[in-house]
Formats: sequence, structure tokens, C-alpha cells
Amino acid sequence: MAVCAAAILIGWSLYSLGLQTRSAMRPPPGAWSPVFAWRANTPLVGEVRGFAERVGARVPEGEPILFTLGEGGDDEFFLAMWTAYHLPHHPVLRRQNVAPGTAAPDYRLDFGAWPPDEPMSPGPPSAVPRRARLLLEGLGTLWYVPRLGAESEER
Amino acid sequence: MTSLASSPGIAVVVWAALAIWCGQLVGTRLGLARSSLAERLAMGLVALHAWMMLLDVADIAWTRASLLAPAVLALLLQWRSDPGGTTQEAVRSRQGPNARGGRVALADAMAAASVVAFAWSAWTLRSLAPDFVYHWGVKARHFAAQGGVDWALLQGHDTSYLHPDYPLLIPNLYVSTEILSGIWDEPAAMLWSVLFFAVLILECRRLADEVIGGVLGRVAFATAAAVLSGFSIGHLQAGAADLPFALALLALARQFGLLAQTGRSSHALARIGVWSAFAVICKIEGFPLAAFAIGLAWLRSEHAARRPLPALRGLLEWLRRHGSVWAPSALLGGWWLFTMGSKGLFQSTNSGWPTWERIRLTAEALPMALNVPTWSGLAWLLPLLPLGLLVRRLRWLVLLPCLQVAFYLSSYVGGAQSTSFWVLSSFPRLVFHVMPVLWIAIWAVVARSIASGDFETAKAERA
Repeated sequence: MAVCAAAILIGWSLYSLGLQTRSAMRPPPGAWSPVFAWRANTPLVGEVRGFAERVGARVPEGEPILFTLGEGGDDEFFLAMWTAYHLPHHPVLRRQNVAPGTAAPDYRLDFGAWPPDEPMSPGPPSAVPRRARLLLEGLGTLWYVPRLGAESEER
Repeated sequence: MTSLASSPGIAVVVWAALAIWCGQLVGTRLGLARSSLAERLAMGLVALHAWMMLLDVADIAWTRASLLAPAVLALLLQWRSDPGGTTQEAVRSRQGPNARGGRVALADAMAAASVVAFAWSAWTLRSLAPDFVYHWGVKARHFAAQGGVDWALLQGHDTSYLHPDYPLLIPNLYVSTEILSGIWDEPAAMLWSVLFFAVLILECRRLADEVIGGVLGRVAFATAAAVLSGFSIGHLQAGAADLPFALALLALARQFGLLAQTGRSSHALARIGVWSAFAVICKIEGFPLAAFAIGLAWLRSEHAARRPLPALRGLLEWLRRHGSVWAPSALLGGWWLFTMGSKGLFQSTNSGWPTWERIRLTAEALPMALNVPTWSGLAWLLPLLPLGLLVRRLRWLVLLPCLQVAFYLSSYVGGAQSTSFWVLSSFPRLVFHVMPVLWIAIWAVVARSIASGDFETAKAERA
């Protein structure tokens, strides 16, 4: 009995390591999330970084950047976070976050009118909206947990 | 992709080496000259964090010079007081005969492969935690740009996603790396996680040797490395704070296991003080962990003194005599609590009263949290943890992890947050905190059963 338990523990631990390592080697296709964006180092991640850097170059250091992303919500949140990560010299605000009475920042990135005044990538223009949509869907989906949580709360 | 030889990677190595060396110095002062690598690293990182916080309070910018100043000063003082290098001699003598030329066992090779697997996934950012961007990384980048803690960022309107009430060891490590190298580099930052993981596995090895020993102890250690590596890769633990926190919990539990075996020991109490302080500066969960550890250390002393009931009036006297247990956590934790209060960083969602609805939602979400694919079903071993309390020689080893899990569950039913989401998004990671102790404890029971089975078989054969 104890020997069987030991064999099960050995097999189980090696199976777990093998499974997770294999999964890390091959991210499942279609499961788009910021996590996979980091994993795969996809062009989109580079675009977000490059876009943030170009914006950072336009906005003087220390000036705040305000996000107005159409309907807001999680997409706005995650995009703002990525920009805050890439632009450490700027306070990054979201439209929802601006407290009443706060002076309006001078610079705005209107993601509601996507694509903005400059394309995110030098690729064909028709590719931009789809990739932007993928980006927003991905950034708004932090793994599958929020959906599970929301379903559970509804029940 | 930056190569390993790039300067940010070297900066991590330099900081880690300095931390271990400073930890050796601090340990010698505390009477812990024979401390392990993990203990020296913990003491050094506590010292680094305390120094960075002190600079921030004094409004001195974090620069290479200001951050390295105490290490250079300590180096000079050490050279003056110890020109012959007796500290190195002590290190050499501590290593013992097995340190050189010992054959590499199969278990060690398996554990090394597990560490390499995690290191590969971390270095290539395949196991990078989302929190690295949204939480620790954002803080670190802003702190580095500011040359100190960016209190305006933490105090901003609706910044709960940043967890502004979390202690700052992890972002401080990333900041120190960036300041030393002058470059922000994610793969290099991940080396901290690789270091913590490797040290965690080394501590698992020590615990398995002490609790189980022999061949089965090595098997337990090797499989623990595989389990922890698998989860860390799959659940994206690189860059997050759960690895060092699991290390602190394991080290603390081990000290209590040792105390139960050997009786009272001022060295063990000092080690509990070091790891409690390390836990306090890692994560906000470190506050209850430190409180539990200090409380248990006191109860353990009372138990060892054969008093039938712990005498509260003796607590003050005990605290007075054993300042090394509580003073580091009280200083660092107390200052952080004061800062949180004075700067309004404490999040209202951290507190609340239990409700039946939250209990129901927690109970519904827990099976789903234990069932996440990244644990491959291993999280279902968690209910075995409290059973360890029934095993006399494992009781003190599993007591602290049990209390910590009880605290997590009480937080879920009391915290004013979306309960199901909270449980699902955090509990798999929190199980990781106790998994090293749980896994070794399970193996201890299995190994004992195998040993007693062998004994029975031999007895039957003799008969």
C-alpha cells in the first residue's frame, strides 16, 4: 500500500512537471491573453511597447496621459496598465479615475477612435482593426478566471 | 532577447552575492555563523530592503552610490577587522566533507533538471506572471524613474489594482537591478525568481533529509522539486512574490519542526525572527504569518518549560529576553503599517465581516480553485495538511502552514471583494505557499509506512 502510494506520488509529480513544461513550450492557439502575449512575444506586444514609446516621446516627461477608451472597462484598465508600465516617467490616468475637480490633463489618447492618428504598425491598414480588437479582447481577459468568477457570482 | 552575459543579469548576480555576504556578516552578529545559504540570502535581502526604505524616509535618492554605500562600508570594516579572511575559513569549514567531490545523486540531478526547466521558462518569459506588469513591474519602473518610492503612484485615485498596501521587497529588488545596470530588462529581473526557486528547492532538500532521511528522503525532495517546478511554470510564477513567500513559510515551518525535535534553541528563535521579517517585507500575507510564527515560538517555549497553560504575564518577559524573534518584524512591519495608515494606502477591500453568502461562494469556488489545470490535481492533497496535526512528530511542522491556510480562508469569507473571483484567482497560488511542507509531510508518512512494512516483513521472515 505504502509502496503504491510512493509510486503514485513519483509518477504524479513527474507527470505534472512534464505536462506544464510541454504546455509552456506550446501555448494553446486561440487562447489570447496578456499572459500569452508575453509568452509568445508576439508582434502585438512589440506594437504596444513601440506605440507607448512614441507617445512618451511626444508627451513631455512628467506630464500625465489620460486614456479615453470608448466604453472603458477592463480593456481600458489593461491598456492603461501596459502604458504605465512602459512609460514610467508619466502618470497614466484613466477617464474613470480622474477625480472630480482634477484639472484635465493636456494630452489624450483617444482609443475610442481606433486606429488613432498614427497607425500602430507599418503593416497593411486592414490588419490594424482586427489586431486591435484581438489586443483589446486579450487584455480584457485575464486568463479564464474572471469569467468563471462572474458565472459563479451570477448563480 | 538579452544574453545572460548582459549587465542587468550580472547586476542580479552582484546583488545576490552582496546580499549573501552581508547576510553572513549579520548572521555572525546574531550568533548564526553556521547559517545556510537561504538564511544568509534572507538576512541580506532584509538588510537591503531596510536600507532602501531608510534612504526613502531620509529623502535620499536611490542611486548606485547610495544603494551600494553600506556594502562598501561593511567590506572595508570587515577587511580591517578580519584581514586574514577567517570568515572565509568559517564558510569553508561549514561546508563539511560532502561539499567537495561528493557524487551527484540521481535525486539531485532530477531536482536540478526541475530548476533548469523553471529557469528556462522564466528567462524566456514563458512563465512571467501577469502581476509582474500590473503590479510589481509597474511599481518598480516608476520607483526607478523616481529614484525612490513613488508615493503619488501608490496614493493615486483608484489604484487598488496596484495593491499599494503590499510591502515593497519585490519591486525594490527589480529597482536595485535597474539602478545598478542602468537598464530595465525583464529576463534579468526574472533571475530573482530563479534564485528564489533554487533556494526553495535547497531548503526542501534540508527538510526532507531531516524529516525523512535516506533514499526516500531524496526521492521526496526530487519529486517536490518536480511538483513545485511544474506549478511555477504552468501558473506563471516568475516575477511574482509567491516564490520567496513559499520559501519563508517553508523555512519557518522547518524551524518549528527542529524546535520540536531538539527542544529550546536561541539560534532557532533568531532564525524565526529573520524569516518572519523576510515574510513581512515580501507580501501582506507575511503579517499574519509573522504573528503566527512569533506566537507559536512563545507557545513552544512555554511548552518546553512544561507549563500546563501558557501564562500571559510571562509573555512580556519572554519578549524582553528574545528580542531577536520579534524585533526585526516589528520594526519593518510596524513602520510599513504606520506608513500605510499615514498615507492612506490600506485598501478597504482587505477588511470586512464574514457573511453566509461569502461562505457559500467560497465553498463553491474552492473546488474549482483546487482543480486548476496548472496543479494537475495535486492541489487536492491540501485537505491532508490538517491531518498532519494528528501525527505526533509532524505536528509542529504542519502547524504554521495550517494556521496560514486558515487565515486565507477567513480572508475570503470576510473580505469585501468579489468572493468567487478572489478565490479562483488567488487560492491556487496560496496553495503553493504550503505545498513544500505538505509534500514532504506526506512523504514522511509514506516513508514511515514503508519502513514499518519492511520491519514487519523481516519479522515475519525471521519467524
